[in-house]
Amino acid sequence: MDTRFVLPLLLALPLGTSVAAATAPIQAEEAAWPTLPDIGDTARMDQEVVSLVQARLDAVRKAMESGVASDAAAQNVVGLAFAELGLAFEANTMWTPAVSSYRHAGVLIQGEDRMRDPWLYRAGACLHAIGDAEAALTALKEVAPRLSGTAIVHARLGTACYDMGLLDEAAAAWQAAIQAEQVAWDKADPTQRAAAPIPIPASRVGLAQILFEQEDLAGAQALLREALTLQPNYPHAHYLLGQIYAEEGRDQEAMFELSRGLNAFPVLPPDPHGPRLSAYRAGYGNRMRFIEIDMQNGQMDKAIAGLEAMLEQRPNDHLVLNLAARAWLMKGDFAKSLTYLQRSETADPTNHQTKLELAILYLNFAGRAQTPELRASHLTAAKEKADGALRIAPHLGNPYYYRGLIEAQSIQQNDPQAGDIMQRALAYYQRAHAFGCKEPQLYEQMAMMYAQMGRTREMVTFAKQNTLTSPENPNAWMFMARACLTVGQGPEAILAAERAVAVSNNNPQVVDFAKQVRAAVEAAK
Amino acid sequence: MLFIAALALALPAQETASVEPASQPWFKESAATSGLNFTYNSGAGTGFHFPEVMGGGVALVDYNGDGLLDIYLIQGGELVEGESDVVTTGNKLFRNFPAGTFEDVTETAKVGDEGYGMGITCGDYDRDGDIDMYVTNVGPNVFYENQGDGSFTDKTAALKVGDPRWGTSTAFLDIDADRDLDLFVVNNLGWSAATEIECFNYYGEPDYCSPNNYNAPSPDVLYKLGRMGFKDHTAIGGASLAFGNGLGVAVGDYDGDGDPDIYVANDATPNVLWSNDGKGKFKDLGLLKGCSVNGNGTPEAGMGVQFVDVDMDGDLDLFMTHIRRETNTFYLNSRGRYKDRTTMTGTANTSLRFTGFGMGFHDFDLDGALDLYVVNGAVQAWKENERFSETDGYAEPNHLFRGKGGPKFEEVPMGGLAEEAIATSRGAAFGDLDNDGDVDVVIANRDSSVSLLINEAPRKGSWIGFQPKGGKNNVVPGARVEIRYGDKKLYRVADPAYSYLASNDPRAHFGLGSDAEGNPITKVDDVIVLWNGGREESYGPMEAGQYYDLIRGRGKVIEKE
Repeated sequence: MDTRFVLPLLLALPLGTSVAAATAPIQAEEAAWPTLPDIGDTARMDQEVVSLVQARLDAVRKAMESGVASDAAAQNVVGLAFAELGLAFEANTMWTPAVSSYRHAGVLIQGEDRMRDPWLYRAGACLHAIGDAEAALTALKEVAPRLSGTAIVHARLGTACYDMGLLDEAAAAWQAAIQAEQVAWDKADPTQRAAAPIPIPASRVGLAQILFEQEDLAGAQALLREALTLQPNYPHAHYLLGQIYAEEGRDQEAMFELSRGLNAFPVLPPDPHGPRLSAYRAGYGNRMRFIEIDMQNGQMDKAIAGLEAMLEQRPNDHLVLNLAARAWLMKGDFAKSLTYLQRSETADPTNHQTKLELAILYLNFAGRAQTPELRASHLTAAKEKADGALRIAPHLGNPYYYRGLIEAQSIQQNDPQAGDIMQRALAYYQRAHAFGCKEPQLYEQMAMMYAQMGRTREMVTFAKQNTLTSPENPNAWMFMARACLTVGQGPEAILAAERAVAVSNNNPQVVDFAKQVRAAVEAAK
Repeated sequence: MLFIAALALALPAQETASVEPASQPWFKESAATSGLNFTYNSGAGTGFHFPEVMGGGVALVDYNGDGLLDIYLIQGGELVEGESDVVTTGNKLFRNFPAGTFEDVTETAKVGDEGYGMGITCGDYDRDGDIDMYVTNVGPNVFYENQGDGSFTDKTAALKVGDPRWGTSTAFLDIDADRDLDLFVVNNLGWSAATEIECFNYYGEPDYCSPNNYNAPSPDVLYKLGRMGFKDHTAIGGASLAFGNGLGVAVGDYDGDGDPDIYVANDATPNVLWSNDGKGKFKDLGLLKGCSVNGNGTPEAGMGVQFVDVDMDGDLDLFMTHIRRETNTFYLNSRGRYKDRTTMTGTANTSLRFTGFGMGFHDFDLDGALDLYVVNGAVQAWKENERFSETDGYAEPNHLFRGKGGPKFEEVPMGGLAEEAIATSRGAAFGDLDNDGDVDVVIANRDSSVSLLINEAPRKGSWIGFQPKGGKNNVVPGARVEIRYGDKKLYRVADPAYSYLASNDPRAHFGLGSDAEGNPITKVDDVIVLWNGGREESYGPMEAGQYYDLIRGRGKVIEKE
């Protein structure tokens, strides 16, 4: 998966900046509208974002011009315009002006607190995103008591309290979030429940984190088990459970859980403003980022629609073309995928990633070929593209990996050249490893190669590495079990087989495999 | 890895930091007046080439053995020809003179490598009594062997240590207690101009990428020194199975078993704790020991890093600097396992808004408690209306935190200077440049002149310092020095490898503070050294106020129970 649009979250409130001035209520005698947020020089910004934000700024100006600042009705109109402006800013990660806009909305909108509180909450959420934990806490504390039914408000408050070292308050906030999640779940209709696995374990894990810090390991474990019952593959819960096991000296179990939780990004309960924020998302970077998320979530049609829309404006953007090709490949339409990659290669013949994607595609074609001749033809094409990628990027590991895969795939049944081809494939894999390839299948491929060559020590090393990099893959554990059996490590084989069963959620075939492993170990005694 | 909007930033609990009222500055900026004239040129021009935003490094090294630390500054240059108007000048060596002035001796010393420089490590690899240097580059690294006559010879090819990848931090260490200095080189990611990527910041403006945009982490290298020179020991030593986008390295015996372990700070990928078995074989225990990622299981940036006993319990804690929206992380060592206890330090909230690079724990004011200095500089530009500098969108202020005893700190205003310095800071090296008993700082600033901060903090006590040596003239890194006075025990590791792209003063420096009546401590009751290999020796009582050589074999051996 091409992951181009991962960007660290960066905005921070400069020292000395005060948002207090923006939040003072407008008194009748002042009769002045608040100042519009300053977005600085827009020349280098994404112009689609600039247009969108300018449109919202214009809407606020128009509202201001249409009424006087002392008039409550006019204040309400301007306040709602500021709220929309805030959404536009926030959706495009311009958090500082978003805070300002939401604060103005929170002051100007008339009526009950429930009309203003969502915007004051959003200001707190943006302060949290900026990294100002103290200001976020102040903002969230103000509105949380009045938004008791919204889990995300309490979850964010819990996080902010935790940031500031207020563990007891954080625990109370997470408890409130759990209760709100349960209430929402109980009220949800079957369609809503099917759409999302609620209750999401986020709040349970948030509370478990605090109990862990307070050294209530039993309490933390109970919550984590609850969370994993709701969502068995929730990484954050696995990571925390792993920390607890490590604390208890249960190292093997700890490593298993920790590796399942590595690269966890804790999430919050659903955001009620999510759809509105989504509608305001604009700009090249933002669009590509969320298209990647759609692809990771298996929403290929949505991703393809988004990519096609982008290609209308950027027909020769090789990043968009490559991502579109990948989406079609994941949908199973190889021919369409090829079309996009060929366009991409024409647009930029020097891009190594495009050549690599073509190599992968031809490998896929080879796997589906009906005749040996067709298969050979596709593998030749794959080889040419992979070699092209290597010429441009001889310092990168991934091209070596795929080149090795092409070699391995070219071994035919009863092939007298099999030994030589295997050596060549292994040589490419070794180079891939030396140059830092992190493709999860690399370790599996290397382990298999070493197995076929009878190099058992390396086989076990890479089989183990495979389980560390792909802990959720039952095949990785099954291979590990076989590798351990080969070298006479019976107990390790049984453990690996049990892990395979665990991560496969008791898949009958895997359960059967585990039984065979146990039987084999017994027989060997 | 994908970007996920609206991340819940679950940070460890923290104390609210208080800021000490303005008082006498702790440091005086002295580069211009001392003759230390150097600007690090990143070569930033029309493109945004990732290495441009990461350098440069600095070393404090007594290259001529006159007892004064000299300064070696790493230079960048132009990564892509024709994209900038920078003129490459090469690295520079400045000799330290007793009057507090510095003179460029690069040409005489023959150390002006013109590669696109990054980091450095210094050590006496051939045990001939003078200090050699290993410089990392975007491209082949360079090994300078000290000839003992004020000059160096480029021995890269002969020693076969010219790894051609993008090297960053590096360290000499003796992995198997055979008295030879081995070499560990951290590599960042597989980068070339041909595979550069276009990225944007959060305003949609063109800017530098995140390392994970490249999906090309690069394995590190472990060279073992034998009779025939250096050999690539990476695979044999087990150090090939874990790697990431490497930036920082720290060396220290985290488990107290008498051999040096290695911690690698990786950028946006899990960090690695290479646990040494004493025979030069390593296993990555970072995940199990709790210091691979933060408490949520999320990898963080990871630039500057140090093994240091912050809570004064005799084991090595860990501290690392991170990017904006991530706190710098303090891992407390608790019986050989690390726990993220950042928020107890009081530094978390301050660090959230800035991108930290070089750092160092030292007792700057000699009150007996470790202080912390962190240098900052962004990797993606601040928006124009939020910047700290009108001319540099990446510039940020640095931070000084005064230690309150143990892992608790409070911020000192203006970074301890009379006037706050705003720059895009990267490498920072710490050491006593004028041998007056307090620790000074040299900072490499991106596309700006070097900073030389001479310590002028009001002294709150006395000091003592040590240089562990293998023989009369042979400086050895990695020894743990313990001093005892009254009911106090303090520990330091005498090793130059910590911070970011830096090689620091190899001596162990202690502030002793004062007694109950406010009188500076005049002596320590005992000095104990734990040598690499597990041998422990006592050197008896010593007077405060000077540096001592501690020669291995000349102390009283402490038998293990």
